[in-house]
Amino acid sequence: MRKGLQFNLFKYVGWRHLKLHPGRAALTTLGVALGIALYVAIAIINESTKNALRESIEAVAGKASLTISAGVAGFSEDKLEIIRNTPGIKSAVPMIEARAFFEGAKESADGLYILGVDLLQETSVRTYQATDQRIIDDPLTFLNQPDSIIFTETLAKKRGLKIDSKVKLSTTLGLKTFTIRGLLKPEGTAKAYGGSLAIMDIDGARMMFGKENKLDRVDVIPLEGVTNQTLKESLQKSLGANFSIESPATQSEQMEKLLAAYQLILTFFSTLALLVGLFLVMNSITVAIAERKKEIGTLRALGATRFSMVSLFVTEIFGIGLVGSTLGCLIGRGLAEKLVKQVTASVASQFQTRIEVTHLDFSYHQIITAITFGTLASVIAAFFPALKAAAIHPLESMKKHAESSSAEDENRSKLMIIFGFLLLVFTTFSMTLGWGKYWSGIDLFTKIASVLGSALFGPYLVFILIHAARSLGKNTKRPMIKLSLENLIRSRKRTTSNVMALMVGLFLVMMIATVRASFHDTLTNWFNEIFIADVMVASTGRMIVADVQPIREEIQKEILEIPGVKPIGADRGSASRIVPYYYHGKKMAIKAYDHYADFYQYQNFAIQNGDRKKIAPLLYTGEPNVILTQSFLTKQHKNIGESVELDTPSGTIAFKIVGSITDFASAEGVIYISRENYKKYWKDPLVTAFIINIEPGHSLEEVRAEIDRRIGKKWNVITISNAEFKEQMQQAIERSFAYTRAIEAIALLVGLLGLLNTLLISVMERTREIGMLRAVGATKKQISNMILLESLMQGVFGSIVAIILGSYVGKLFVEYALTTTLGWIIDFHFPKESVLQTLLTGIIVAMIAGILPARRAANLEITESLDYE
Amino acid sequence: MNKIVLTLIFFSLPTFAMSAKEIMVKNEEARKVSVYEARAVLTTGNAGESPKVKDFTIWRKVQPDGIHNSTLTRFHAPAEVRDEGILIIENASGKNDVLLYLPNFKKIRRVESQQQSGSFMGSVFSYSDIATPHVDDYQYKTLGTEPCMGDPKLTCTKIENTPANEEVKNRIGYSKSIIWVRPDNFMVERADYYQTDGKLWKKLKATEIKIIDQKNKKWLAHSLSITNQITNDFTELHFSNVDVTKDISDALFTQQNLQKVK
Repeated sequence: MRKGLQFNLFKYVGWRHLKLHPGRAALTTLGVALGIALYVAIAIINESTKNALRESIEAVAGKASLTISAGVAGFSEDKLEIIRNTPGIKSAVPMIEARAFFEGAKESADGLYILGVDLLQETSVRTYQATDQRIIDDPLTFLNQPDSIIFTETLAKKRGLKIDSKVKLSTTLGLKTFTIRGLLKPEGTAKAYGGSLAIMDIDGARMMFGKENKLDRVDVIPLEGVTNQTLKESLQKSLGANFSIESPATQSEQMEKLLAAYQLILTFFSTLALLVGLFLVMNSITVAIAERKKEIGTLRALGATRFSMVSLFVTEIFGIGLVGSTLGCLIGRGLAEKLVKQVTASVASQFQTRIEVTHLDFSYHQIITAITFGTLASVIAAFFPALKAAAIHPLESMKKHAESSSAEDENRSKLMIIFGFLLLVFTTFSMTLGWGKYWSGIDLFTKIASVLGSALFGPYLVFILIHAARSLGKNTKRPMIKLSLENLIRSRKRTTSNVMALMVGLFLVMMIATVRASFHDTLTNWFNEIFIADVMVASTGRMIVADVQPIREEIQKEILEIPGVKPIGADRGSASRIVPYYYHGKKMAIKAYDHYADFYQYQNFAIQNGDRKKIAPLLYTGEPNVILTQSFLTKQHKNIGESVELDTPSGTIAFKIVGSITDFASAEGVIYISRENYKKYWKDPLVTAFIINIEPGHSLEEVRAEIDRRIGKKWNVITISNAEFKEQMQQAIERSFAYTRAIEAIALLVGLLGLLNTLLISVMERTREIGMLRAVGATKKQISNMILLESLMQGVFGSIVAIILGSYVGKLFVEYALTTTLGWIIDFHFPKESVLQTLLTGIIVAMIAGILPARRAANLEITESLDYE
Repeated sequence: MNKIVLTLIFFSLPTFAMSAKEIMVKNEEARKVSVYEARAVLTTGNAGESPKVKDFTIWRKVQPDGIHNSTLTRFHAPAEVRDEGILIIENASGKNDVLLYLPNFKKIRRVESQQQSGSFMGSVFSYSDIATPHVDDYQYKTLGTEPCMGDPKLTCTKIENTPANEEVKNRIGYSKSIIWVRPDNFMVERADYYQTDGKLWKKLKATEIKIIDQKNKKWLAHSLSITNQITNDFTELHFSNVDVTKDISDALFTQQNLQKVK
């Protein structure tokens, strides 16, 4: 072929075709754009979340090379001198970390981080920029008054506060009024947690947040020439093994690792959405090429080579891919903006870590990668159909009936079904046997196999359903139903394309719904079963994730004096303490309860290795005993009867494992311990919540009102009834999965576009057939109804198959892949409510997609139609 | 503050015949009181803002080495700062120990050395201004003479002080200062302080320079006014009831005493 001919071929054939069918080109472009958009949105959110975490950690660490900490309970302030006297230390500054809530806090956004720092020592590690000339106008007053607080300008603006404003915050001493005595510019440390923080002097913070004589962390700077490693070893030697000594970079890495599993799920969904988008591109191209068979034949007969034909289609799709991917980046950026709050709220719920994404990170590198990836993937998706089209002999191409059901096609179709089936078999084995853990490539291939397998095998199931419907409806007196069913069977290829287009979108919807339902039902069932106490008394905040300000244990005495509160016996309390805990770098939780009866009087804890009334008392023998979740035992390769060494502020203690329990508070593991032992080893007398039962003869509301009246304001505690607590749980789960709704919507939109595209093409393809029907007497309405009916049947059958396959792959994902990734044993729950929803959505999408082609078909002129082809 | 306060003492020989360093030696002699107790009022503010007033007692005593001082201040008013105390122990190393007692927490807190060049408790004075300067900490250059501000009949010597080394420079936070020394008592009556980048930072005026120890010829400026030229913040310090006759025990300048509130 002469030089320049290729360009002319694109200019006069490819470009002309795109101009003649702008709607279809737009649909395909939008399909690519939506697939890429979701992928880009998730990538942006993942990156921005990681960066926000890293920035917060680095902002709080300041110039420190190492940070010394010992868990939530902190450590004795005497250690500061030991640290300062350790050889190689240039500066060591202490810090108290606390979480506080504004008065009337209802959600996480009503909370803020409190950093209690030694303002007389800080400058060597952290710098603060005041909005005024000085951070604190009057340091003598600031340091001596426990109500002194410095807000970030960001937070102050958000809450309409300024210097000298009074603000009420929850503390362990109850609701306390603070005076804002300084404002910080959003620079350095003030940028941490998206500016949702306040600085207090260390002594004030200790007093207000129940950390007298304690420190939460010490940030150190080594002397010049002393390496971090050398200093870490010296410090570890001076302090002992139960102190975590890490650089900010390592802390960031640890946090990123924690998030990795969660982000993997997000990426999984977004990859699936992208695959769905690309599949639709492939489907559209296949159908488009089939439609242009005659044009291909003509060009081939005129001397166009196979290469030039492939190049023509690839160039066309290259343009569509490029435009679609660029559009996808723009939509993705907008989508990320909408989704980021939901995702970070979900992450915060699960990891008890506040993440404030203040800006989205979408670098040029990411944009170029996304566009290149989208364009290339579109080209690859188009390449094989193009290759197939170019391989057709010109004579064959020019035959009038483009859709021939040749034996070759039949065989190919059968092969595709078998291939699809095999891919689903592979998906089943890969997920159940966890092949993905051996190599990430297998993991990616499994995802592709699940979509592709369902897409290839799904239509076979649809045909079974259509055949069944034909058998059932053979005596129907409605000829249009018969005709539509016959059309669907006769035009196997076309039906397959349409069903595939709709099905992959619904498949993804169903899969996500299955995951959500399984999580939701497993957690809800667990929670409904275990929590049986009447009322919980805690400070304001989100009790469900223990994201609350701890309170003082003395409150118990006052609670028990309230009429209607069931007595609990002189030898015991009913306090619980729930704190995050790091074990070998994994974030877990410690749950400490006052008495073994808490395990069955207030909660029905699901102890797995025997009667809870026999196992729970083992925690209260005075010996260091623990009950661990199954996830802890499995992941840390421990067994009941063995010991587990836990780092505590009192040193490393070997706790004997006396039982196993089901708990979803942390995927890595939960440690149950007596509060007596917790207080002894962790030296933390604070309480997360008190659990109480109501004495018969008293009403819940009466007791709650009395608690509110007597101690509510005094200690800033609220009462949460059993029903409210469960409702909070429900909401927390809903929040965790809120973002999946957006993914479902995108998947559906992609499905709608795909079906609309293929239906439009199929109407064009059937122009002559429709003309003939009109010629033999079919009315416009009948033609329109026939197309709509066909679309409806494809919608119904496609949805049914999507429900079956989506829930099947979802089941595999829940029971195997997710269990491996998260460590939780999640029971499969069929998303019953989603079945009707998916079915209806499928029908509506099919009907919407069918309206335009139906109108178009009905409006075709008979003579023109008969001349078509 | 008291670097300046005590710089303002002395009255004696005509200064024109002396070198800058000789004048500063005389200045140190004039302001160095072996022991004294005084009441003071510290007023801080900015133009357009209502000033904040703090009332305190100051005790100062020269340490046994005869060079370095120990200073204790105890605040009486307003109520938010009542009984707060600041103990400054000068050290031969140049790194002073600055301890702050917070009565609401019953705790003593140490002010890190890096912070000592910063603002002294929100005033325009720095911690290093509070501690006394020593002749050997600076290099001196006579810039000329000018009529004295407090008494135009007298001719003050204008001297440029530059830190003798980096350590001193870091501690005091100034690149240089220019002072006007009176010829009658060798007390400093004016001073300009420059930032490390060479910009004029603070301007000090010392008035009410009175003899407080007739026998040993010791002087004290009873009124000091300092203004930050960049922010327009100002601080005024007035001394009263200066007593150099009290027998003040060394035990007064200890951590134990710092947290003893009468």
